[in-house]
Amino acid sequence: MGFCGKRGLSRFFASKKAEESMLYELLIALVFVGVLALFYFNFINSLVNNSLYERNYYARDSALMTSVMYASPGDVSYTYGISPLNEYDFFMTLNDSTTVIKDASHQDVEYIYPDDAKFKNPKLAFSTKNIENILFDKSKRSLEVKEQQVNK
Amino acid sequence: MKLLKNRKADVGDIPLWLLRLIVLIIIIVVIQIVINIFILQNIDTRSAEAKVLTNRILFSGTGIIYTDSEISRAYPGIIDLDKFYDTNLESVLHLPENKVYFAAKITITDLDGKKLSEIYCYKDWYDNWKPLADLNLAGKGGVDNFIEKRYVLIHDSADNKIKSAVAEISILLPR
Repeated sequence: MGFCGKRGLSRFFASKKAEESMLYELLIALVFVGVLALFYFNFINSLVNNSLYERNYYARDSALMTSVMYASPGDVSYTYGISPLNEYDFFMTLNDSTTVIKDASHQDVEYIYPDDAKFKNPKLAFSTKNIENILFDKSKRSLEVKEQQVNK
Repeated sequence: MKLLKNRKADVGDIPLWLLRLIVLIIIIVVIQIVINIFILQNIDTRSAEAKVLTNRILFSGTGIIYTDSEISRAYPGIIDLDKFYDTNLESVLHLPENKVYFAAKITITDLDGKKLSEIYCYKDWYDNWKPLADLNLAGKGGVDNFIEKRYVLIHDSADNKIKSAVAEISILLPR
């Protein structure tokens, strides 16, 4: 019999009390759906505004770039263009085998790379806003990483 | 009292609510899965990283490769057996103690496959992770073993000769 039998749904249509009860059920369901919808709207909205992908990408890419510079057997310099990154106001640090990309409103993203103990390793902290390039310069026993401002 | 009297009827509604709840949970799970499929936030760069580490081992002038000290010229691809020891490799791929995220082993064999020498980078970690890498477990907690064999030359200062050899570089990267 279940909810379709004598004690089931059919009884709700029989009386005023049943209608009232059904209304309450409907209200509870609506509140529930409303809460869920709100949660998903917030979730999607946070994804749209979230720059986690970009922070992840640049943390890894700059760490790999630094590691690649150490791989060269001789002196080398490289200009790393960051044009899409400077649309965001990130704070980037490169120190102690770690790249960290901070965003004012979100969690930091960090990525590790091995330094070379025989080198003077890079120490750098800058805001990506108004930065055009990052210059990697490896000469003798020193790897320097510098930011290059946008020429206005 | 009225409520108590209607208890039988309330109990009869339970299957309906259970069914609704199950359907709702299924819908939520499906929505979550669909969202997760379309969101790409994790980038797996470990394969590129293993390549870069391999190149650093074989090309970096401060590492295990032969360098002419008089003209400070490094010869990529020629391994200097005098520099071929663990601590030298660890200084080229230097990580703070609490940040070790990879381990490596380099085995040099002659062209007939006879082992000539073997060194490790972060040996303790290599020994810890190797059994996990051999298990080849999927997902988090697993370890990937990136193996690359390269034809190299070895420089032995004892007889000042250059010989042909094969370097097998195994890099362990946990997921």
